[in-house]
Amino acid sequence: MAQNKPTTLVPAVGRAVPLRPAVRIPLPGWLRTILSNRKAAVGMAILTFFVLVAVFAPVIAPGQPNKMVGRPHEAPSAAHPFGTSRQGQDIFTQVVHGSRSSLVVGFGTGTFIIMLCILIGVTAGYVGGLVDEILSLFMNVFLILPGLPLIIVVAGWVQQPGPLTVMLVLGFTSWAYGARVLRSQTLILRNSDFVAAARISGEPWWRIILFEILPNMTSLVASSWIGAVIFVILTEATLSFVGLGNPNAVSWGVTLFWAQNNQALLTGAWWTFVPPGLCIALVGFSLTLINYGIDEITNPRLQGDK
Amino acid sequence: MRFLTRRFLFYLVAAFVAITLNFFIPRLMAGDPVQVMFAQFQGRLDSRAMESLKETFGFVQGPILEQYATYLGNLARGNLGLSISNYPTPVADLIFPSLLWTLRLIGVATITAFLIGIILGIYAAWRRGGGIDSFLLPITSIVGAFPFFWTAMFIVFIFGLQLKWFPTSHAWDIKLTPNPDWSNPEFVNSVLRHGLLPMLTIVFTSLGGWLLGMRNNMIGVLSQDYVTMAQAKGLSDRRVMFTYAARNAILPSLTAFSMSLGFVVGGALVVELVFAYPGMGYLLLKAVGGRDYPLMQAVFLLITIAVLIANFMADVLYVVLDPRAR
Amino acid sequence: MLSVMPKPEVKRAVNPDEPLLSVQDLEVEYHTRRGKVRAVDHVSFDIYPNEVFGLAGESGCGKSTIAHAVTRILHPPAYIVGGKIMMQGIDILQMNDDNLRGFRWEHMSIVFQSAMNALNPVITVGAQIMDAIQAHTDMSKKDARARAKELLNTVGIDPERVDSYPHQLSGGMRQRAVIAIALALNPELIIMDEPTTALDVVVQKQIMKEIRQLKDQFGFSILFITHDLSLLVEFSDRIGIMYAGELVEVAPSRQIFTNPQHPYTYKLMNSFPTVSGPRQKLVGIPGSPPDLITPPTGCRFHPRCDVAIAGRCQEVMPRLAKVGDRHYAACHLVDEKVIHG
Repeated sequence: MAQNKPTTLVPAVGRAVPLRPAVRIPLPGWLRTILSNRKAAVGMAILTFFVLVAVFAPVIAPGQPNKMVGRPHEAPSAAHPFGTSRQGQDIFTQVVHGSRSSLVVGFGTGTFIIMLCILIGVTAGYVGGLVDEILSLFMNVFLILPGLPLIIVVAGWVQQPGPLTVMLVLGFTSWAYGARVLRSQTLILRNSDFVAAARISGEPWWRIILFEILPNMTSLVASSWIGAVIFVILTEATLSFVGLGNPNAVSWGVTLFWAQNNQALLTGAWWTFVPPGLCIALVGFSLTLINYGIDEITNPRLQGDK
Repeated sequence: MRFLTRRFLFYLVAAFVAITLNFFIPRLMAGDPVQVMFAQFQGRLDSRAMESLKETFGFVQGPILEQYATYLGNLARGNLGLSISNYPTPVADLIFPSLLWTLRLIGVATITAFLIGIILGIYAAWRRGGGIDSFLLPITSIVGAFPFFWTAMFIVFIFGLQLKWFPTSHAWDIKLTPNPDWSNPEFVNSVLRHGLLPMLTIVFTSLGGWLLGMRNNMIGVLSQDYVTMAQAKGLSDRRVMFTYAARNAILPSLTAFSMSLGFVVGGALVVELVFAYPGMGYLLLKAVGGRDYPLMQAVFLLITIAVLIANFMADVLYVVLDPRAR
Repeated sequence: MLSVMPKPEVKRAVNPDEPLLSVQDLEVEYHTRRGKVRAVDHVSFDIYPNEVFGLAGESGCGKSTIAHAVTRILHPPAYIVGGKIMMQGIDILQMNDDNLRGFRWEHMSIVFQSAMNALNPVITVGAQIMDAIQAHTDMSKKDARARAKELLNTVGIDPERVDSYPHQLSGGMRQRAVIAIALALNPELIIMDEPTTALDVVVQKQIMKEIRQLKDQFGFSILFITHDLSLLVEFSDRIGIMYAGELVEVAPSRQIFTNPQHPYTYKLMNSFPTVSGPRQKLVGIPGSPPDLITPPTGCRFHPRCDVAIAGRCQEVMPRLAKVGDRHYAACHLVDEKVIHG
């Protein structure tokens, strides 16, 4: 039955809401809240899996990821679960080890970006006036400029971008969206009664920002942060794929770069590009699910009836 | 009109920022940009060519502001410089055909994805928990999680190489001579067949975002009094759904369209690389690979300007749809 | 100010003694995460032709829910779970989608609380009148437009504003436009859910006066919902008082004002200053409305009642009983009074 049609009559016995017995596991409050949402819980499970793979990579796949261990383009077998590359490298080992750089770059750069977002967004929203006008203008401009071409151009000028350069380039080009979101929330909070009270009672501005404003937008910061991590993982893979990464590094993007450059598609070696792509998508998807979950927890209107 | 004037001025500022970035990025890089840029062409280019190249980028003797003025002057005259990898072809000559291919491919694909996403989003919200909500929405979110280029590889592999339904590279059959007035049906057919897979890739990968955004806007609008009142008026579902709910819900989607256009275009450019589609993305990546800096810079500028123009068109549409913006 | 507008058709012979609308044992539940909330519990009342029936109570007492239930525009998580809503002998709750679509607006329209939210911001006021007309008649576009202008004129808006968008109208004009839409098909019943709360007092008075004139001119009935008691008493013929989802007292408005029988009504009537009549001390009602997930046993008002009968009011739920001419109240004290003369 279509549940949104307001005219629908539902009999009294219509929808039984099952009461789940409360399971008490000692978890921090925020984590329990997130896990109470089904989407977020699934997302957390997938993400945890990849974190464990990254941590235990040398145990799961001992051996050098870039070492030639087999014939070129060997199909998946017991010895090489994901087959081998054109250079005879074991794809499974590459994918397992690649999770490390993807997650480290993703979360590291994502964190860097969210710091920039907080710095710029909260400043603009809290200080207001001319500072806000100028920062907002820049936010809107950077929001509208096509990010990837800009990143490609910047990376093109740097001969061989290392992880730190990638972080700086992505930070420099991708802060606008999060900053804008945080700015408007800061603006709302700045005009709230409790911030006004804190200001009148003589709290310094940095205390107000750190202890009054930021704690009241944790969920927004969290979802912007996750959004930034997703963006970085996808963009980093793209940069490696188009040849702007270090081709000797071990990452999912680099494996895909070699798959494309070695005509893996033409030779039918699907195993060289399917596993790393699936991993990128799964990590991205798990983060998206967590974000949907946070969204539903903070915005109950989207929850609807399940 | 005030709204459009303000937006137009904003796009001018954005274009100016892009132009300025183009000028400063090489100068912000560590080391001497002139050396970075020209070291590898030593010997490949004669000294006169080097001089003209330097001048295009404003790498002239003098303070930085003077360099900037030289650069702006060149740009104002439409002088984008000469290509290095195809020396001495002017960059503009290389860009123009690519720009047309990209506008056709990405333009059509993006608008198609937007329209399909909007319509599906309307129905998803109208029948919450129905087929679109519980089936299509998760699928598009999963597809959306893959990098654009990976989806492109996957589609090339399945439909191009395994099933061999469609060609997998280039924009037309290279055995045919391109005819500019599109009078040769064989050529037109070839272009359509070559364009189909890249277009589907872009549509599939960007559809989910529009769908989800529109669905959530719709859900918000459906709880508004004016929608309830339209229902109480005994209007047909169709009219309530489109004229009352969707007409309002689409407005934030149009704003989101502006904001994500740059992102979508970026992804679509990489799709061109996978299909070796001779558009701006392919050209940009070739330029980066060949260290063809003048070409690289010009491609970036033109992509940016194209995105800004598309945004302005979205604004015009917004004004048509929302009387409050007039 | 009001133009003469001929009633387009006589819909049926109206018997003034037969109720136009009869709500019987209506039950509405909200299905929330915390459980089911019974927002409207066995509510029954009648509205007669050309009558203004007022419903009052604290916010959250279920009065707006009733208005939305009667028009069947309740959104999930609200569900009608029992009762009948009879309009001229037909149960609205049994209508299928097609019948309901034809019935709506033709016989019953609704004026929402906030005109700003009730008008679609992106299409003209005229179009919003015309689509109601065209959904129910085969009037041509030209005729529907002429009728829309006529309706605007009727509610005191310059007919040339037919092409205006809602944001181009003032607050008062918007509310008038909403009333014009409600009048479009000349329905027998108009539900007015706080029709003037968003407006300033002067405009409010003026619009209420005009609504009364329109009512006399066209002969419709009104289900009037408000929390403004002085407006309610002044404007309604009969009044129902709601508390925590139940109807606790129904009486002609004069009587409910001068001779309230339910302790809650008594307190409510004493909690607002009267414009005319003797000055009374302003008293609020102590306590707050109960949580409807776990409503109090017995009479729902007993925790806030000064005169509750120990042992009885906590346990037995009082039923609505006749206490005078067209006067009903649900209170054990009333029973006592009746018993003890």
